Amino acid sequence: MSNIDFAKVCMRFREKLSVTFIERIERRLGESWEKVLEEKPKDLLVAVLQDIRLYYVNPYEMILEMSELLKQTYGISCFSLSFSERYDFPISEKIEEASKIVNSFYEMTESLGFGQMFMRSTRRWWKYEF
Amino acid sequence: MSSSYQAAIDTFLRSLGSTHVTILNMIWKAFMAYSLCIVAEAFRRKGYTITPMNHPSGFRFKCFPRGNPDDYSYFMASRSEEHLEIRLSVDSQNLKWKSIKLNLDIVVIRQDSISADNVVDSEKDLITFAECKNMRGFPELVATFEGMIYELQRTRLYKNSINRFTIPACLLLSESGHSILYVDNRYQSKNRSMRIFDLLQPGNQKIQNFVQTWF
Repeated sequence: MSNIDFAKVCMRFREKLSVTFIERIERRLGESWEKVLEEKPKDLLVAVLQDIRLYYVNPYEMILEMSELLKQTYGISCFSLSFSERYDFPISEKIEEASKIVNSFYEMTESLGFGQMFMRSTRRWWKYEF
Repeated sequence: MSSSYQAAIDTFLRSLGSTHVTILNMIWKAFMAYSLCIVAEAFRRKGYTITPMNHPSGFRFKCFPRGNPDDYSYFMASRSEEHLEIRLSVDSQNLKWKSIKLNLDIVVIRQDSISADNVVDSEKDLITFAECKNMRGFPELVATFEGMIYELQRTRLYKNSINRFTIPACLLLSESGHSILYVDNRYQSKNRSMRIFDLLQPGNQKIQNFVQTWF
């Protein structure tokens, strides 16, 4: 995977990410985006991917796991997140979309050579018996 | 971009791009619902029977502070004669000390202990609670958590409080932070009935650790 231009990939993400997102990464790394991009582009890309996973991918993974858990353990296939007395978000209807996002994230990290660092779990924590 | 990794990046960004930002913000709340499921699992591991309650047309996770808790779903945890409710987003107040009323992300309370005005007495009926944040821990977050404990069950802050409150109150995080492990170790070294658990995210061994070692 040595032919990957990490700096170029970082910039590809930067086009899509908000200023807040970039600033959060800079705070965490303790250096400016430009400086890390120049000196340690691979480290910068890892930080970007970590935050993308945390803020964009993990919530969808959680939904997928909850869907499995509720179905397998309690026989419940329909569930929603209630955000007000008048608004329920029917999250169980978003399973297909969630799968698409999660799958494409892990395919991308694998193709970038970070398969070991960003491993998708197949273990299910509710299946262990006490 | 033309190579396989470039195509994979394009595919991911396209799939993410189709998700409306407001939907994403709402899904961010999934961590609260996810944590509720983990908390229920921790009780199951301790021999409680877990029963989903109040789900006639699907399980409704209460992800906002207002509203009548009985309009939403929750889990009942039963063991022998003990019956506890594991609920999301419930107000609690220490009526003995007339403390501030606080909305807690997850509560474990005695059965039927929510009053007519939708409040749980933290002195009498709040067994434990958890605050859930889908983010990295930072000192101000820990201070807020300790402040909530001070208002509701301040003797949890005392040394050896684990003897009175056998289930620690928790700050649950989906990521880690530099100060977090230090603070959690300090709680444990003083036997305080408080814990911070980080890295509670799909695929992380820390979920197993939580359900096995919380109480």
